[in-house]
Amino acid sequence: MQAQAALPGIKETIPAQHTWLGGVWRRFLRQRLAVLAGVVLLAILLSALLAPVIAPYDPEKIFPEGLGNPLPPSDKFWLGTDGRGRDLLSRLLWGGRISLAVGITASTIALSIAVLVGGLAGFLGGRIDYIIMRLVDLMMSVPSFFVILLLVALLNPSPLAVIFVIVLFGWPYPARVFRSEVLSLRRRDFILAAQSLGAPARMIFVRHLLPHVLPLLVVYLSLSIPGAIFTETTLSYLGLGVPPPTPTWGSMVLDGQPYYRVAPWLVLCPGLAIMLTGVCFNLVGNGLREAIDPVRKER
Amino acid sequence: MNKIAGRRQFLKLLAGSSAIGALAACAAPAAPGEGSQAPVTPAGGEPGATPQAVMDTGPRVGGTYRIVAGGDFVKTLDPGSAEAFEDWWSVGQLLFNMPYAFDREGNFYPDLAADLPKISSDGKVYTIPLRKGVKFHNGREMTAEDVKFTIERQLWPEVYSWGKSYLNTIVGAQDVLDGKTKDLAGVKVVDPYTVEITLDRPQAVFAALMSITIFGVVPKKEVLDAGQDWGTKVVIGTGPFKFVEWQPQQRAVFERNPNYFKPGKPYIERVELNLNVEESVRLLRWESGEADFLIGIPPAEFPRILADENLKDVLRSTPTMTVHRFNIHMTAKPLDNLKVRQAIAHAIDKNAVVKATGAPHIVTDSVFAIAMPQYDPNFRSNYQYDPDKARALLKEAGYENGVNVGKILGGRTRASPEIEVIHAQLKAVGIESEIVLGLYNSPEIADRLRSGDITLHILSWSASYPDGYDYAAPLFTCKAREAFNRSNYCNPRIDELLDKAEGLPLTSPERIAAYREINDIMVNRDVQSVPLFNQQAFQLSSKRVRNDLLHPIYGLPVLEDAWIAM
Amino acid sequence: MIQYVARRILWILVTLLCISVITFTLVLSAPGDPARALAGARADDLALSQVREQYGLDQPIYIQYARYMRRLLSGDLGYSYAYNRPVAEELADKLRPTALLALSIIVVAVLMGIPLGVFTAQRNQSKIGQAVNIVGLMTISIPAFVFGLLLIYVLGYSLRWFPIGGYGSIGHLVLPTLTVAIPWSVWYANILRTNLLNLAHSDFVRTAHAKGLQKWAVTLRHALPNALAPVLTMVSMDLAALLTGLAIVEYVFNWPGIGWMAVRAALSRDIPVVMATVLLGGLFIGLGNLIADLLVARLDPRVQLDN
Repeated sequence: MQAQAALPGIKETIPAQHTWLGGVWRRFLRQRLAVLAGVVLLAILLSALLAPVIAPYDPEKIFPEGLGNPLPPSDKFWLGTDGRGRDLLSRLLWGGRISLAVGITASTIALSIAVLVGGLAGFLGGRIDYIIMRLVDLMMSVPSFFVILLLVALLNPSPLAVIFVIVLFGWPYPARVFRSEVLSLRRRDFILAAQSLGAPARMIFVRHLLPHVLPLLVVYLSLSIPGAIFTETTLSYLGLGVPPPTPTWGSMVLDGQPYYRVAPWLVLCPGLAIMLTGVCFNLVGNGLREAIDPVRKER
Repeated sequence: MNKIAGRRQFLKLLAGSSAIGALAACAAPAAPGEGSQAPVTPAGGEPGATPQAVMDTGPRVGGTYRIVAGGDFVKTLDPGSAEAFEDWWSVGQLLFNMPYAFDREGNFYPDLAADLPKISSDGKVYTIPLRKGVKFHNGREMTAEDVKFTIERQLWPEVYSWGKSYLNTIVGAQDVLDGKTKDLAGVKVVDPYTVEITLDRPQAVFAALMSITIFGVVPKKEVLDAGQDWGTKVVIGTGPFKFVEWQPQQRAVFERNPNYFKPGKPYIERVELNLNVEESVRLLRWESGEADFLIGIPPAEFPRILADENLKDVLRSTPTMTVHRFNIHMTAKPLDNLKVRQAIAHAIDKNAVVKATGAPHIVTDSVFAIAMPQYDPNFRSNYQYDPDKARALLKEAGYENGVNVGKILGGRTRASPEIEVIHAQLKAVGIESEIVLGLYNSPEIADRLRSGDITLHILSWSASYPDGYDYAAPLFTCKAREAFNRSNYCNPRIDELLDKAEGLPLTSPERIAAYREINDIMVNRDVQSVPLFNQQAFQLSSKRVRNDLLHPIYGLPVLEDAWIAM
Repeated sequence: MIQYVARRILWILVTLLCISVITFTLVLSAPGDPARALAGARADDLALSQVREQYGLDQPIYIQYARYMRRLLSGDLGYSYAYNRPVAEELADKLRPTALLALSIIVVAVLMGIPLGVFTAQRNQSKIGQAVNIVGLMTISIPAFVFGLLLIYVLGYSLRWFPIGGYGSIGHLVLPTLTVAIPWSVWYANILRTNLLNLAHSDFVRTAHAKGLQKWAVTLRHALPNALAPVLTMVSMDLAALLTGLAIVEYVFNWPGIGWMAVRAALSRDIPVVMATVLLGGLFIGLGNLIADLLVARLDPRVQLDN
């Protein structure tokens, strides 16, 4: 079973997909660190999802006793309050909701575009490939940072605007990677075999090429979700992120930064949340890659 | 030589010179030193008078005074275009002198002028005697030609100057503004040391206007020769410090003017102004001794610094002429409804707003600064903090289930504590709003405010001289809608009152009453504005510096009097 | 080869043209009247209209664009709206500090990244390898404005090893360099590690092992040079990106660079400065890519330049 899954050509001939998935799952479970990261990640996602239920207070509610002078952690405020007298824990939970939603949505859309466009370019080749690759080149030559500033100003800062600019400048690089991946796959035996057997192009693309790009996709996704959260933080720094008082992890780090000496938890808590999420996504991504594509490891 | 008129004298002088008064006051310029008896700042409001001011060694020449500041929107060091904060101060306190000035106690005195202006009996003609022997930094003597040039140049269409609207009472101003002529007919050079300015109507504050930075006297020939480089690479004034270099967003350097017309002054050899320094880093640089003076204590650190006994000696503080007001757009829906505006006023707890800033600013109900004669200590807004009344008013207005009032300008890149608190207070009574970020003076925000896309904002306006006119003219009138009245506020009664008051002596009861009516209209009748607090300036200096006390107009130190003791 | 380079340069020019159109349209359509940037906050309607006329801001976008391009081609970058200084001068002033910082970052990042990459590749499965990996991932996710402040607080303020901010001496260079180079070195190390691990299964490395060479020796003598090639080619692209991408670091450290100037310009609609920096950035990126591709071709004989 293992050996079969390891050989791509043969895998395709085995109709029972669930056994392949099962294999991936079993190999994933064997990596303790990745599993641990997965559990933590699940907890983070769950807490963000359940923020409205589990957050102790309204994240925008101001408690006058904390105004101008953040309160340290206490029974009433488990993580203390921020400089405006708002409960930090509630903001952390709600902030995660927005940050993760922005990160996951933006990355998923960007990578879907990348796989589709890059894959098609590599697979179809010729003029279409040429046009697409020139577009990719162009996008990658734009000093994106400044264009993003202007774009967000044009669109007005909002979660949607943030997602839009992340997608706009997030797809070209992975598209190029996927294209070269597909290009090299195209010369591989099993594709040539399928072609010679007269399989229609669309089927080859969907059934043979996409699954092979999957490990790469997973890795990119795990890297780009924290990347998107990071981009939102940077935009917040310039006043172009998700507008206040809506909390995001990025804007919380930003708001907490001036208090780093008088109330270090204000920057530590959201900072650790971002870090933990980034590390977990990464470990899970690596684990999944090795589970899907075990060739490397088992030799 | 230094003639100082106490503020009362100044006011009397202008009273006497106005259309109604007699000429008598002109003949009695005040004796030096008398002025200090009439501080314009409220009693006890001068914590700057710390032990620091005690001279332990006496003034000595030498040393570098290093400042860290956050400013980065400095445009040029041309007096007419310096309008931010650090540049305004550099122009007004370091590089240039104006014909007249206010000292720290609020006393009006002739600076480049040799004496107080002679004012004609109809209040329209001001004759200004100039001090002899005042040299520009390049050694050339300042004459009446330069003063005339300074004034008319501001009005040239191709010159950027925020002073244009201040000068439009001078005869012939409109022709220069329209580009018909370069010569301002209303300013005459009588002889090399006398300038005569003719106004088209009596304007009591005109003498005070001659103390604001747009009147910083520039050298005619040198400005014309410098062309585009004027203000950026060539900056020549008469001030205590000479221009050395300026790198935008980075630093400006000035050095001592050894030929300053006030003998012996200044004492500091070199002034380094480091610009665009990040808030938290700024404080670290000051704490580590890399700077002598910190402009802008981070709000997050305010409580700690104000409570620190060790910093008492170096904390510089003064009440300023800056009032922070919450302004409401008058024609955007649903704010065009008076009841909604009243509800907003009732919903705001000013004490909480001040508490959020971390600094002990003074809560106020008045649109005028405490230091202005128009300020009425007994005035109270009809709309004190009362959430229940706010809700009731909303209900009356038909918004029982809440109302969305649009966008609030929240701050530059992060929402200011004041705005976040107000946003929450409004929300608590059912008034929803949305915070947007941006710089008040940026082109984008200016347009969006004016159009009513952003409906609410805090305006903090630093008056250039202690009189309510500097608020009313650029902010409250219908004409000001083109400039800083960004709430589309136009009440003809205010224009009428201002016109009526314009020629009246500054302290005449009718004039004061007219301004107080304006205050009442804006706060109580129209509820265009919810005054929040009168700002108190806090800056940090260092133990080695003496006598760098803050100027209430600029909120920054008067460096020509300061010296470095160690 | 020459033909290839010529074609690539032509392509860079085409790209720059596209970028100029995009940016120009964006600046002019973003809310905010550039005339106000010029005329200042207190300008009244008359002053605004005078300025609009004077600078041709009342013309349709395409005419303004054509005008801008005509002047650009004759070598005139115009005057900054915000600072009333020639843009060319502003750029010249700020390019040096930025280039210095970018170079120093790349050098330090590479010098730290290579040993780290080799080390983690060797110890991939061990706890220490994983720990290094995780710590690295954590450094990457700290925003520069927090990490920079942290370095300033610890190394500048508490320990007094380096000046806290500003520009001037080698000492000033250290903290901003570390702020970016530390996370970047982790990034390089990760790439290097992946390459090394991939190569571990390649024939020549296995042969070397078979010859009985020590594991370390194999890595250093055989695998590393091959694994390094992609990293080094990335360097030229990254350098290009750094030249305009250091805005926040420049701000935190009060470093007089191009990045922050461009950010301010973009936010205040200072059209000439925005255009000049974006075009310059595009040019850097184009050249960086070209150099990277030439390097790849040089280092890896399998790659052919055509296509």
